[in-house]
Amino acid sequence: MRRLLALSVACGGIAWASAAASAAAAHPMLESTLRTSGDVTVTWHGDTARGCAAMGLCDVSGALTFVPAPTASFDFQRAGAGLSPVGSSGSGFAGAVVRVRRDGAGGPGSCSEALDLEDAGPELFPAAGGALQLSLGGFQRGLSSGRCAGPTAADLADVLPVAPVDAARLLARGARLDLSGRRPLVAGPFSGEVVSSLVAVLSPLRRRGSGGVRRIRVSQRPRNGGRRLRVATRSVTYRILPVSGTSTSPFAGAPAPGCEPFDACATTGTTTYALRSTGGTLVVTRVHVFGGAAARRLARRLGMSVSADGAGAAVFATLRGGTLGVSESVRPGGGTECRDDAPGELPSLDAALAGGEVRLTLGEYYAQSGGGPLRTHCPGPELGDVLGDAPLASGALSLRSVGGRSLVVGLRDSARFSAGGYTGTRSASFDLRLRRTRVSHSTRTLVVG
Amino acid sequence: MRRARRDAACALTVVALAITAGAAHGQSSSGGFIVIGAPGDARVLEQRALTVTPSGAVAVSFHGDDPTGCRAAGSCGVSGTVVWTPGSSGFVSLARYRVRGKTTSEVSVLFAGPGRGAGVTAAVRRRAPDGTTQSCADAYAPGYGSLAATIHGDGDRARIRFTTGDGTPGLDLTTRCAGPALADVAGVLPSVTTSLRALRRGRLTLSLASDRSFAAHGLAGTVVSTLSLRLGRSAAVSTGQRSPSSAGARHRSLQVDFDVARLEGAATATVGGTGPGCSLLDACGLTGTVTARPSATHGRLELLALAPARVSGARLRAAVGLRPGARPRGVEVVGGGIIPRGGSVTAALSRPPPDDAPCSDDTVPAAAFVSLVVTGGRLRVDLGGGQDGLADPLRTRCPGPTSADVLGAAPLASGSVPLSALRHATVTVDLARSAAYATGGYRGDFHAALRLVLRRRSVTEHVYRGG
Repeated sequence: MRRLLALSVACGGIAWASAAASAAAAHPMLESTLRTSGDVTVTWHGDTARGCAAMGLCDVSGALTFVPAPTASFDFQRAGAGLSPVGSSGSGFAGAVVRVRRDGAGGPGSCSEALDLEDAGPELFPAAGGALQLSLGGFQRGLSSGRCAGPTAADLADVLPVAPVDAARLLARGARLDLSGRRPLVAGPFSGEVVSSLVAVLSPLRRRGSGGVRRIRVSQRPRNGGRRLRVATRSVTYRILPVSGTSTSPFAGAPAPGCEPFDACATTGTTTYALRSTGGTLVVTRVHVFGGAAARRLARRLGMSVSADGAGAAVFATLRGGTLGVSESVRPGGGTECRDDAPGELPSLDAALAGGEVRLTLGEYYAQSGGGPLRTHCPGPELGDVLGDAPLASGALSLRSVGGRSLVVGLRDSARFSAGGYTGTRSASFDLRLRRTRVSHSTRTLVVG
Repeated sequence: MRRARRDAACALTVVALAITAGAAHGQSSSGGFIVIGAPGDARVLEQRALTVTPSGAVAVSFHGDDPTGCRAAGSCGVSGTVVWTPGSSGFVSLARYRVRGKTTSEVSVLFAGPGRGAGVTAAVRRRAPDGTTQSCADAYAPGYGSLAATIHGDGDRARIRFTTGDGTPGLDLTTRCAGPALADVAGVLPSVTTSLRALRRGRLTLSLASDRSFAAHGLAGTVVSTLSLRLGRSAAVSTGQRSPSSAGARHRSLQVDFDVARLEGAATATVGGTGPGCSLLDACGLTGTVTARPSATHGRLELLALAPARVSGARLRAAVGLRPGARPRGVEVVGGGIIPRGGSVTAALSRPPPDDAPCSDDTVPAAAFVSLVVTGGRLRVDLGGGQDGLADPLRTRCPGPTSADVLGAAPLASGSVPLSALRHATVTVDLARSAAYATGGYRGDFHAALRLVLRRRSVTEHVYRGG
């Protein structure tokens, strides 16, 4: 945010909080209430035709039941002849329960879990031809079988029904959407079915009492000339060469009773998260702020780390292209081994300054979001269980060494974990090899409004 | 003091915000703050907040027990485990206040949820007449849990245990599988005794590890706890109480207190295990009824009208129906209360032949929250519901749908009377609900017809300064 603020100030431009808001600021807000009933049930079982035997999942059957939040309120503004959704709020909780039964060697066992759907709520999206599209579950983490054996979030990404909403009809008399139906499911080694009994009713649009959306100015052109900040910079740009490395987590079921809900007692296994990236960029900018204490305070407000003598720095890092894959080998209840792997999204690489060092953090997002939906079809701990509130790995680069032609930064992590029915250790090692590509100098005056 | 009561509903949020904004950064909160559970005329002497990181779980393992009546209950072939896992974080509130010359300290622990793996899960097996073993697996979130302790006088020892303000155990063991009622295990739930001085300092770990057995109503087993609470730094927070001379606009409040004279009637859910989710709940073919007959002859509800002091008391009386006239602008009316647990919940469920062990149970329903809302010249009364944060009103020891399955977010029953009815000393409100449900492996109908009789106890008017 500070980076954004600094950027917008430096550009002297105007940033608007919402494009939709700026486009329709003068129009009154319209509101429609959504009421839903019914649920979506996804059932699955190990399918020999889909290779369940090789993965040790033929004795698994399960179900996921999703109940959307019973009511929600959508705000709209007119956009030409159509409607533009500008926000929504839910009422009541969405819920999803996973239940999985494991027969065969080491069985029977049952794993059940209530999924964390704090961020789930109905959403309306603009669709082609001025229409709208209703989705009853917007999830950051996605629906999945959680720690139990079953479909992954990628398998179930499109499992919830969506329905087109005619804007003109919604304006006139609301809409009743029948989202019921059934269709087959294939998910890795599993086959199954998706059965929906959902019905959604959108009330006719009515005017909201609170008027239109207000424009929020994040930044503006300086009035009365603004305040001037004279800054000299020296930027060193490094190319991050292709990166590979792993985070390995041997785990076992937690002591009873913690293991029991997840059928994790006597379970042992290993999860490996493997990073493959084509590389990225690291930019370290040394700055010198001219002027007195007021100038330094202003620079700090803009996100620069500036010491008492006016010297400071700013850093930026990113990774491009690649994946963080997960592979897992686990023996649920000491029985048949389950092996599987799945691709995941490339984690973020974040840079920050601390104590004369550039701190580089891989997967900071995981620490903030609870780990994300990176799972295989086997049972086992989620990434959030393994990491807790920590990133995937982190390391540091001395500011003094910045400028060298080639540098290596080791990103490491090592810790114990105990969460979600499992206990274990994690050990991560990723080496960032940096090659200097550019050094630039400049002195410029920023006008801060 | 009225302000403190008005804020009571927001207390948990305020505490959470205070923790987040202040205690977590080692600062004192400057926000408004009230003592949870303290009487309205309490003078707050001290209020502190601590973050808590819980670990472990509480597990109830059980099996059918002949000596306590499993044959009659149809639970002889049943065994299983219900596990409650706290959310990944929480907070502790420590308060000391004085009422009429007596000092009381209160400690409360609330867990944030649902979080990673948090909630209630059940794995229950049933031996069928054909010799096979059927299993029910379920999970339920948020699965609330709260711990509290009350210390009268200047004592330093606090026994922190699972409890709520209404006196019932502060733990949710609700799932759709068969299992013991909370009352069956209430006496053996874990607790810990610690010193208030240590709590004030913070940075300590409380172990609630225990292993105790129970036997009641056809089920026997153990309650094993591995629960541990790691408390963070303790931080003082503002009490939010101001001296009489403090600045702020003047407000007028009118509080109408009602005694619950009578709650009677029945709410019945028909139960049919069917649909794609029924097999993993061992519910396919299960049919029967669950009937709640809440009964109360005591309890207290209140209706509170708030307005700037320039609004006369007569107009506030009109706003709550005690006098004729429209509700003036700027008057806020809120109301509600808790009706203590009482009455019965009975389940009579059976499976198709050859299954010969129908499940029958009779237990006491949980306390119920009552909401009073003034709208359109009427007083609307909502009783209980699946998501009011109190225990499930349709829960028995038999398997079956939760009240959230049956009711969604709706109350157990609702009704309304013209505001003018409040002019009488006794107010009778008929509460009803009829609906069909089909979710999570169960479907059926729900029908409630209840009658709530309220007797006006007092009307008090106050003018105070405050935000």
